[in-house]
Amino acid sequence: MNVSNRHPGPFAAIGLLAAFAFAVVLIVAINGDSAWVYGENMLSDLGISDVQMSADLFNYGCLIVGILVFVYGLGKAACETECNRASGCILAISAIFLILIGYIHSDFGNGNTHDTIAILTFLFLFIAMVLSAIGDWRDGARINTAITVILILIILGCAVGMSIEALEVITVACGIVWLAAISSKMIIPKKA
Amino acid sequence: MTPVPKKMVFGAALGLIGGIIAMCAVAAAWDGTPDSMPLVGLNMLIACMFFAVAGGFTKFTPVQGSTIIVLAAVCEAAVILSILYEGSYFWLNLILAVIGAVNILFAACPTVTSWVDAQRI
Repeated sequence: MNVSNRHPGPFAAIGLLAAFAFAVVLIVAINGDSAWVYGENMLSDLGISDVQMSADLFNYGCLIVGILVFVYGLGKAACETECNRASGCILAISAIFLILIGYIHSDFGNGNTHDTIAILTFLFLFIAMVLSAIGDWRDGARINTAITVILILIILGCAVGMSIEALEVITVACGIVWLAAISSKMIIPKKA
Repeated sequence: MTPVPKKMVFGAALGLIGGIIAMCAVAAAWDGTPDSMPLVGLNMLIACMFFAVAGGFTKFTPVQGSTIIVLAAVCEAAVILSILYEGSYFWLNLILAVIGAVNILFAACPTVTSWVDAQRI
């Protein structure tokens, strides 16, 4: 719950913009590379795609969206309290790793650096989602809690039976939806 | 005791309808081989969750008002997983997803949660 005089509106707008922009960037990059196949290729393969447009879109998109999400995460931490504040901080850390994904492609060295950064990105994103669900529950934002719980369960359910390539795409999609949902909630703050 | 809110009656009815549709999906998922068991189990989970949500919307509900939305959320997550794993026909899963979403909205209503917390038997 927002207990300060800080208005979360601008940060919420940045969050919505980041979610929308990342969705557009990924869709355009995937459509631009006909060799990319869902379930067989990682999203990181777009960063080293033979189609220069897709590669640039993905890499620069990660950089710019990462910066936007970082700002949004800090804003969420500043405007919210308790678990939601922690969620904002963790989301900002995840955004730093997202920026690094765009900067260090999977061709760098033997690829382990990029893979490590990607795993850390998703790990911190997942932790941020869990903290956000707890924080929203305590604040009484039931619909937001329900949306976050649904997305968390989808990620866990897909982790059980799907390939890592498909799981990555679904996790990113869930992350985009979650970011849009929590940004929408922040647009209209509740006074204490 | 005040009468049960209409939203709870609709929520229970939708839960029952979703459960019955999911049971049909269970039957449709079975193709005679053990390989189809995961999909059969997934559809059965969906059916169980819909019946649980339906029970949550009655006056004999065993859970608190705020817990019903958790049940509805888990139910909706199971439906979306069924879509991703192609557990049944896409249109059938879409119908279940819509029913699940409506149940979430009903469960989030303050009328429902306050009635359940105050009046459940």
